[in-house]
Amino acid sequence: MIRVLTAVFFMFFNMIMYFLFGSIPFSLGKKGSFSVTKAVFTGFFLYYLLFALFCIPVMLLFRPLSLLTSVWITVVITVCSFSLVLIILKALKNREEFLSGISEKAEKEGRFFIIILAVTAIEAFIIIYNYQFTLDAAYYVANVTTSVRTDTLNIYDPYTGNWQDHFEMRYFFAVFPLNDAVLCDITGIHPLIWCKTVMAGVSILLTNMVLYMTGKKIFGDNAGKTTLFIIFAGFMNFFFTTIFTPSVFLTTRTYEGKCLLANVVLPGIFYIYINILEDAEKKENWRLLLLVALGAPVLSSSSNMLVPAMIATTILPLCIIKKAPAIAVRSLACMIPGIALVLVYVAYVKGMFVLYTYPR
Amino acid sequence: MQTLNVNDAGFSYIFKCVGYYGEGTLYLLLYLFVIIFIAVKGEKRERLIFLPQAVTGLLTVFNPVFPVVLNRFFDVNKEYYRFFWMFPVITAVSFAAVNIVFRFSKNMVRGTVISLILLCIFGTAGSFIYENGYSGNTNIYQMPGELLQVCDIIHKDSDEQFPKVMAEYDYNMQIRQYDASILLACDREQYIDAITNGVDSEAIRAEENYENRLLAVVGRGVRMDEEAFKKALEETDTEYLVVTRDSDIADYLEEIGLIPVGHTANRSVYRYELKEHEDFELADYTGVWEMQRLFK
Repeated sequence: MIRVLTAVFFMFFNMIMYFLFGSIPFSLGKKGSFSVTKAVFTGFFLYYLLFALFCIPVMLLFRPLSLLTSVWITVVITVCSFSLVLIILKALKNREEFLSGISEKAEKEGRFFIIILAVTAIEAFIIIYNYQFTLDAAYYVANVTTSVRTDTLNIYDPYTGNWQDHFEMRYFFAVFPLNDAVLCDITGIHPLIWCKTVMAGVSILLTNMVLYMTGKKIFGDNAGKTTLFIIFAGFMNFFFTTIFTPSVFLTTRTYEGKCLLANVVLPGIFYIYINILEDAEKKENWRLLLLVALGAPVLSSSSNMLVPAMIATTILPLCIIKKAPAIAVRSLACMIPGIALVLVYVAYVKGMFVLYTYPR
Repeated sequence: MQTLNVNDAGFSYIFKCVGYYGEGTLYLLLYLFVIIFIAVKGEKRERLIFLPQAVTGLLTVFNPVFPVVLNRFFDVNKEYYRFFWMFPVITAVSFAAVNIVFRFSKNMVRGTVISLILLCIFGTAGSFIYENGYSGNTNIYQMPGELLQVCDIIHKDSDEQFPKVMAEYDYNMQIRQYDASILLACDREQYIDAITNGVDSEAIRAEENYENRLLAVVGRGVRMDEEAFKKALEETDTEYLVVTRDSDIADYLEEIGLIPVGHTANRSVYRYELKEHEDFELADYTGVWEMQRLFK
């Protein structure tokens, strides 16, 4: 029971961490643009982008997981403390507005928010409590277990435990499992509990949060409609499950980066599209899109192709609809990170380079 | 989609891919209905939210020419279906459902409509995730309880920090998720290939890949010549075998002299005494780190 409560605690711990990371741009920005869900969404991508920026150099220097853990703890504590100070200062500065905003929101949306939380909790319980045998866990979860056990980063083959002489480029930039390993190292939680309970819960929370943000946008802040929208979506996720749909990743492969890609990243870009549709000039929307484009490849290598494709099919057409060529330029700029990583992978497959796990 | 190939299917690839993706459900068709519903009944803003992507999708992702052209540059055979994730099916269908419900003002009518929509989803989906039953986890690791016992048996019996194991299919896929101190003789792809395509006698004889012999015995239940099998255990440095208790293969392992070191309710663990054994040690990078310091 204590382990279950610990796992639940860490689900919310992760969300708070994302919130603190994502609050910084809002705290430093103009008054009135703050939203808790948007801060969590922003923070989630900022968190993983920053993590990759620290993780990849450590990996390339063949340094141990424990070193990355020490570095990452320092980064997280610094960023979270800085963010907390900014939030407190901002709240003190606009105390009345801050308090009235909370009470107004609680009065208007409180009961709906409780229903949404309850629906999410039920979904999470049903999904996490169910026993699943999935083949991909033999790579993703075993990678975390292997990294923790050997105190290394992508050096050993997760399938067999054998030493690998080179880094597998397919997964090289998608260091999402290595973040799990770092957090297992910090907390002492077993990788299986971390991946299949804590991160599964985080994925479900984020999925419903993006649905909530999208629902609110589509229904013009109508909390009742948004709540019903989430109930329908949750229901569908259990019924539209062939082995290929995003729903099956949400209900069975919840610990994988691909689950986050299908249920958080791509629906998240759709949410950003609605924002850009409303105001294509607002820089905040484009910055958020760029952040998603940079952060998504850390979650799953499939993002490298899907994120540019999503931007091309969803946001790019707006330049014709709105007769604004600037949208095309900005969209293309946001597609560059993914395309660049695809080209790196193609170069690797064509044998143009290899990154060895030892100096040569 | 392992069995689908763009080169073989050509322009019909996209239709087959959509068919495989939906597995007989109305998943993508429902999205198409909703898009038509929004085009006809939706407000201008709603049309702008949902229609442009659907149109560009029809012209690109769902265009029969697109996968054929794309496949010339990248191998998209197995993973083309992931492009379908871009279309907000769940969002669009849920939006349409809410829209229909709120066209009625009386709560009684709304309740009835919600029930009808849920029934409709239930009826058209055709694939409820738990249609084959829902089995709760017996432990917080979300692993079969016996797998944890098997790991305990191996570690109690072994002097090695990293004993090497060959297990039956499901345990081979799961054991290292729980315990990365256990090394495996065969990786996932080798195992899937052996289970899907079998292991023929030529592969069993091949000396460059002794894992095939382990796969033939443990994965496919083949009784082979004792010497040939023991040679494979020696060459792959495999010390422990995990098989179903009281099975034909368990009998075979005992017949050829492997030592039973422990049992769970349904599994048996056998040890083979390796004649020549090389201890597995983790790579030592301290020398490399020293060199990196010198370069600074």
